[in-house]
Amino acid sequence: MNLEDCLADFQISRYLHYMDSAATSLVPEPVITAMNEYDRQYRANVGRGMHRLTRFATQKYQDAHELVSSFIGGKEGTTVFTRNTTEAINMVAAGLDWHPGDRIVTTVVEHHSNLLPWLRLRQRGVEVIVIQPGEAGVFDIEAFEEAITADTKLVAVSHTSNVLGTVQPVRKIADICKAQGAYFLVDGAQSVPHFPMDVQSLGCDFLCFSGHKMLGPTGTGVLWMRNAVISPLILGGGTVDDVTTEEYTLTGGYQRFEGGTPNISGAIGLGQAVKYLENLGMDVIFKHEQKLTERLLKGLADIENVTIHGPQDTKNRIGVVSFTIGRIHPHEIAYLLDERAAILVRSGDHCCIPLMKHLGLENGTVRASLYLYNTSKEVDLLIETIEEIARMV
Amino acid sequence: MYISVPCIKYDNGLMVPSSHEVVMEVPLAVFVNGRHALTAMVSPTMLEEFVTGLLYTERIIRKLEDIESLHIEESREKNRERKRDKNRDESEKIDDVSPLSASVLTKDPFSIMLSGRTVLSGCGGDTSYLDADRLPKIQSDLVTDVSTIKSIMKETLVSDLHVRTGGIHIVGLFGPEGKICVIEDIGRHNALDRAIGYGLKHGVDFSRTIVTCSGRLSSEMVRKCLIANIPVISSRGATTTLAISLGEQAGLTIIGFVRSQKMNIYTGAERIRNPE
Repeated sequence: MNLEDCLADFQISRYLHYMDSAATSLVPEPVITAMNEYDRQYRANVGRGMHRLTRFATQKYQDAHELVSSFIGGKEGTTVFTRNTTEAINMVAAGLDWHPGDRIVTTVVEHHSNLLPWLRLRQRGVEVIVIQPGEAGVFDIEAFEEAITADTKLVAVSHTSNVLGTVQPVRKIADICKAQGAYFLVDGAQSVPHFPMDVQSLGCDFLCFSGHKMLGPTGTGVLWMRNAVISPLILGGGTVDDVTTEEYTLTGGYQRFEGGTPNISGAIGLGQAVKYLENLGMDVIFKHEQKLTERLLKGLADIENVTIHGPQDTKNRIGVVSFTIGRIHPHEIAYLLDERAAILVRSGDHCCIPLMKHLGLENGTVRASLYLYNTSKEVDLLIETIEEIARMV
Repeated sequence: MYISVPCIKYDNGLMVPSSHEVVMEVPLAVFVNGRHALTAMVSPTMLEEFVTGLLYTERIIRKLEDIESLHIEESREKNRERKRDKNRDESEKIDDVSPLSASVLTKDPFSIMLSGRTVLSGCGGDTSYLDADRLPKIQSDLVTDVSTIKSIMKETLVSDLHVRTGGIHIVGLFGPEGKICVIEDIGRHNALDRAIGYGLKHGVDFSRTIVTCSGRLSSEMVRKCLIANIPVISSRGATTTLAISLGEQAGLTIIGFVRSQKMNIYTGAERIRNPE
């Protein structure tokens, strides 16, 4: 299947120009079919019971974990299904054994989800260092070398900024973490959906990402761990091998971390989404997005009164493009793009208030985020409509 | 494949405490699309190949790609018992052969999952007779030499495990380039299914292959060859009347009692040349 053929699988794309995939992506028909099939034909709980439906559903659920772990090259670790990236990061924050004086290093570019769980740990005497980026939101590696000390327990960095689209030098950061004996958590919410990922070569200890940003259903996310060193956040059904009234023995594998009945149809949908992406090829998807991003950046650069926030070329960036037009409120621009051209973009602070303050953007930005189902025609329409709006300034 | 087990050896009028190597036998429960298909007693090795071959010769799948997923696991209850009982005595090793389960999902699962019929509806399943008319005919123009049959049989029967334990069957699968695989199992039907599973996983064209076997060629061995379209089956041992009549009807070459200077060709003799 090539990219043109897959357009038929996205109904919303027939009527609207969806450019808000960094918030949540569209879902192709095979994913919807896979989820409906579970509810219609083999709905049952997983991990327990002997009847045919529970056996079938359990295997589908296990297979979804295997599909996702092999998608990120993570068969060697533990792949836990969560509700979203936020939950995955919170599980690490709640599950590591913190002591006063432990140090966490993160950055001002982070999404609130990769910042607040760490800031809260200050209440337990943990020191949280938030480093500032250089130009265009890219960090000098020296900043990390300086911040990551021998008493640093964890470094938490987003692979790709959800505002600026910048790709951070995670491989180099991983080397520093290794040298200093710190755990390295990568927020892959904006990277795993858009380019090939291999946790082994990335060198992280935790990778957190969202299924719903990569053609999967909402309510799906992933926590991959090189070693399952955290305590589970939720205990209960499915997490134990044995229980007495005095003690319990936790089970192994992902089951230890997925207490209670999980989002079964969601997991099966996510497995199907991964198959869909692999079928198209992550390299192909990345190239397509690079082509569209280049077109968009060039188009925006030529428009008077438009400011692009983030890298001006496609080097080290993905198709998340933030911009402002003069002093027009970003919400106003998003509204106009929707009403005039049925182009759907996000506006505001993008859950990155510290970054907006750092950039001096009180009202935030307009953010167009592209994915495999966007076309050159749509990008041209976006540029034309922005030109019209910019003339109003 | 085997463990050393204590026994009393009687030898020349003396009873002596000793030990001997004994082959492992493990129950493997096979589930297809959530339903129990059968429990096979097998040697605990190459289980994916065994299950793949079994599903193929039972016609639950028509090609390798029909398998959506295949998991081999220890049975859940046994696993739990073992975790509870961490301080088990080493001498209980013989009980260590815990039941295994193989769970398979097929590409088109719902006919089996939702059906009221048994999973294996061919022979051995819910029919009480073997319908020869429903078996395929061999489609192959393979021709081979008696010398080839003799040499591949020799190559098949070289087995350290057989010498040690005296308790296994051996099945070989040979192609134009020689040995594809030689499989050992407590049962020859298992071994043949495993060889066929191995062939499927490695994209072997069965119409160019010959099967060798250490044991009796029964109708069931013949049936498996017909379904896989393997044109020649040969054995060091005997065959049966039903095997011969099935082989004749379907154009399969059956050779028994292959020894260094002898063999009996029961059916399909046109495939076997004698250049001497």
